[in-house]
Amino acid sequence: MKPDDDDKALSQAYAALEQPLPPPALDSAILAAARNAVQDGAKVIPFPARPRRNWGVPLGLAATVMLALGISLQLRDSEETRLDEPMLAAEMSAPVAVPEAPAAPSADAAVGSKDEKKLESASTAAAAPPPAQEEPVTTSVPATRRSLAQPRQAPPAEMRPAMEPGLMESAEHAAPAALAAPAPAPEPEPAREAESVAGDAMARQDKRSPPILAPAAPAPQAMPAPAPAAAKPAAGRSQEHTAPALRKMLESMPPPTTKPDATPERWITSIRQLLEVGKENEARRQARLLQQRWPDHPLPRELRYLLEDAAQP
Amino acid sequence: MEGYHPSVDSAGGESGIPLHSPAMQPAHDDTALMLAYAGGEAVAFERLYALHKAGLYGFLHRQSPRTAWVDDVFQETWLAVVNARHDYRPTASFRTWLFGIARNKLIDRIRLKEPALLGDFLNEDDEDPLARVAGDSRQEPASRLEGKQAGQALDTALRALPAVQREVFLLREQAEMSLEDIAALTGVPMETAKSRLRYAVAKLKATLAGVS
Repeated sequence: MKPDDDDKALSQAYAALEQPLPPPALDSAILAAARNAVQDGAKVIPFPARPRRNWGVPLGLAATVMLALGISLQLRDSEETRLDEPMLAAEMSAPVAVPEAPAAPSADAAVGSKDEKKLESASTAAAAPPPAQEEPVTTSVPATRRSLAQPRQAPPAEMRPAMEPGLMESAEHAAPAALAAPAPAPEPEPAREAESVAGDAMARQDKRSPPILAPAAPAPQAMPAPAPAAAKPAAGRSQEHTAPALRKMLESMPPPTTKPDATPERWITSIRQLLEVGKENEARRQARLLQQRWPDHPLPRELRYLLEDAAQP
Repeated sequence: MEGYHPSVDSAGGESGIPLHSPAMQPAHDDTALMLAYAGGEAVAFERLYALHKAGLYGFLHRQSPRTAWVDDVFQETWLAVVNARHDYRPTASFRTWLFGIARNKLIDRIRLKEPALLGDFLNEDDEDPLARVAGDSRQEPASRLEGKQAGQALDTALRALPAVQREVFLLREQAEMSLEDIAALTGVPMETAKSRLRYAVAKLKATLAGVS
């Protein structure tokens, strides 16, 4: 191909076009890399820094921050749970006077309007702020957790049928108020007053219904609170003439949980064995205990004379 | 070592198309500078860079299918020169060696980023209808090619050329390489390189004639 005027003109036109040049930063980077390579004697040189989008570092930082945040939140939650568990356990095992409050209103509701005023003061006393030594436990537990721990204050299942309908109803109404109340502290004076009121109510109740005694319901192991609550009314009846006998009976009765074979049938069997060996007095005593312990369980007809004879004197 | 090492530096030879070489340097000067840089003289590299950066950048700017790749390929080319300074042998012209590196880097980038375009840069595309049309209009007077409008039309027509024809034209005009070197660099026979150049020139002339 021989050069001609047209080819020359095309070359001139191309030369007249705008010739792009590398940016100065790129020039500097390449020249710096070339100088460094000569000075360092390195064959492989690192890529010179150029202005380019590098999202690796910001994304890595963001991911690290999010990961650390998530882990810290998880750790904090688990730490709170770990801290709350001993508090809850301490609250559940603490022999606080909380059960006294529901016990007193439930008994008081059946007594009448005269005792209602006393009970109001008693419940107010029960709702009073706890003393300083118990404050950390009672105040640090959230209200929801406290309400979760409260159902143990409900009366035992064996006691419910023995209650009168009115008593049951009033107890049902009184229970939420008592549940909403904060865990009361062993206040000396108001608590004693409430105990006396409850004791009176129990004494009146004894005249109308079979005796409801503390050992009637086998208290769960993890909820020891109801036991003192039920024992209090018995102690409150110390002024009554039946109190010493009852206390003696209570002391003589083995705890239900310690004798797993203390069922009515076994008890009746033992009474029969006592009669066979001629220990009639002991058999009468056991029959009375059996009647008190299992009021709903009928005594066999041939053994009922033990109770009748005991009731006659 | 990538690139091609022609045994003869025939820039400005009898290719048929007049060379536009305002900043053309003798081949032995480039070779001497490169050898000096390999010997540890950083100033020699600066001189080489100043001589060839515009031509290389212009070639990549018009040949690259993506403008965003130009800077990267340009930088990779020069860093390859830096790293290969000890392997450089003066059997080939520095310009041919440099553009060979740049071409290979660009093809590597195309293969990596957009393989679908690779065929346009490797396959022959000589017998297209546009080539015949362009050939028919070769007699348009070149005096009409003037003005800013002509420049824009030329740039557009250049980008519209098939990649292989545009490459030959750019190597000829931008890198001031001979057809023999272009053929060796692109790996095609001499006649193929010549044909591609002829088609490219014909199309560009037709475009400029239409503008005027």
